[in-house]
Amino acid sequence: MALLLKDVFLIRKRNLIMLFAIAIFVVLAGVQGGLVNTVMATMMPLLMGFTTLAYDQNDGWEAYACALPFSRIQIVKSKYVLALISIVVSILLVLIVGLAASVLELKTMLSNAVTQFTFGSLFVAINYPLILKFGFEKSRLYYILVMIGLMSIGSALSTFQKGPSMPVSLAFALPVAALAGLIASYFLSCSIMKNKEFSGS
Amino acid sequence: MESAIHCSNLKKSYGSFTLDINDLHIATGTVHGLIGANGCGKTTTIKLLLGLLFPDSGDLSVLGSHAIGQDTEIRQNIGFIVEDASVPSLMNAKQLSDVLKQTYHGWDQGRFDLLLKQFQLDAKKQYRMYSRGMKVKLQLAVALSHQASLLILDEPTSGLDPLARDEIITILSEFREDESHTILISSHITSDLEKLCDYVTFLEHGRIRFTREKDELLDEFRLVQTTHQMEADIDSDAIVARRDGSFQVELLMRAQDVPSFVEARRLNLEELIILLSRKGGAA
Repeated sequence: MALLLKDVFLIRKRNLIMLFAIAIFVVLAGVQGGLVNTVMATMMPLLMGFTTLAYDQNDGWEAYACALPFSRIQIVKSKYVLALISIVVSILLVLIVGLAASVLELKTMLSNAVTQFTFGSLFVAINYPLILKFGFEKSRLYYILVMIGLMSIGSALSTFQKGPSMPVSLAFALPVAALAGLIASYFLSCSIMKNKEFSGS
Repeated sequence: MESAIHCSNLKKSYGSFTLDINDLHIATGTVHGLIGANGCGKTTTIKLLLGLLFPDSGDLSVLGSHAIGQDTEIRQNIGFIVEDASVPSLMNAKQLSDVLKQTYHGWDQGRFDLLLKQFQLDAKKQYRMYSRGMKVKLQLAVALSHQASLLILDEPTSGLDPLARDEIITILSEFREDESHTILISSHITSDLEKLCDYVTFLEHGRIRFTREKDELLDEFRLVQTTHQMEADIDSDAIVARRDGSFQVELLMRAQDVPSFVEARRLNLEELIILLSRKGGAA
């Protein structure tokens, strides 16, 4: 809880513009749907969580926290919990807006929720271990490549899709695969963190 | 005496640097200073003791724990300041205390508030807006507010003005009044260590040159200032180290070896360390 509270304090500090951007994408995803709007409605809150990792590494908090009475697993866990909260909240917000607007079919809205969960989870699953291993600055390129890669895959998949909602088999398979990726990523991150040394400059 | 910290055959290498500590014993209830030039291994030692680095070989024990990196319960009892590790720059002291009261079982909010007041720190000002001295004071306030029995401090007075340094030394002197409290403090400002420490360990190129009781060490040596002509009458074997000037020579000698025909004075820790560094032998 203490580590999550620390992240909340950091996120609260300088993200008014980000909150405004999230609100726009949530409304667009809820009303219009579409891959870009739906994915961005989840990516933006996740990016806020990612900025806390950048602050942690730049400020030396990562090392400080490791000397505090936190286990390294707790430190990793708090980041994944924050990411999961971000994904779930973004899904709920888009659903609420979608239901209130009543423009999209329920099937489409659920399909968008699956897209949000899948993209959000994969984004975290790939990037968190990279950031922990190489640092936020060095991972910046991978991080952009992962985002572009995921968007391209999503775009390619949507071209094979016949209607606005995805096939049932895909709707089940994608989140399960993403969740498996997230779990594997968590254990990989724990392993990286356990072996991480803070030799400094 | 019971050990707060004990290292034996501890080795850690990275790049071209190797820390090699055969034996370091820090007794409970003492203040122990780590002295040495930049890059001698002070910070590496401290990071090993805090679990931020892992030894390549050897054993270390901190408050009885041999795995400080995994032992979160023992870390409840350790206050620290260490290079490259700091609190989030966007947070203020108030928010930090909200986080730390959920972190430390023994968090004493009253004590923390009192220290902030004593250090004249604005609890609502972001950490990044603090001066270097204020940042150290905030970290020290954290270290002193959770009923720690061991303080591990890496260069806490470095870069501070004399007034701020004195303030920190005073606070640490108060902490040491409790006989169950131990401090390990590294610094290259030897005058600060001289005021505070019971024992000093001198590190050079990653190895311990000596560990000595500070007063005993200072009592043991004398500085003789004499001319080159008069030096000829002094037994050369009794000279521990020397510093040659244009007109006179400074000789480091053991107090009992100082001949009666020369004047000798006691050295401060800084002078002694500099001269012993030149000599290259053990104290």
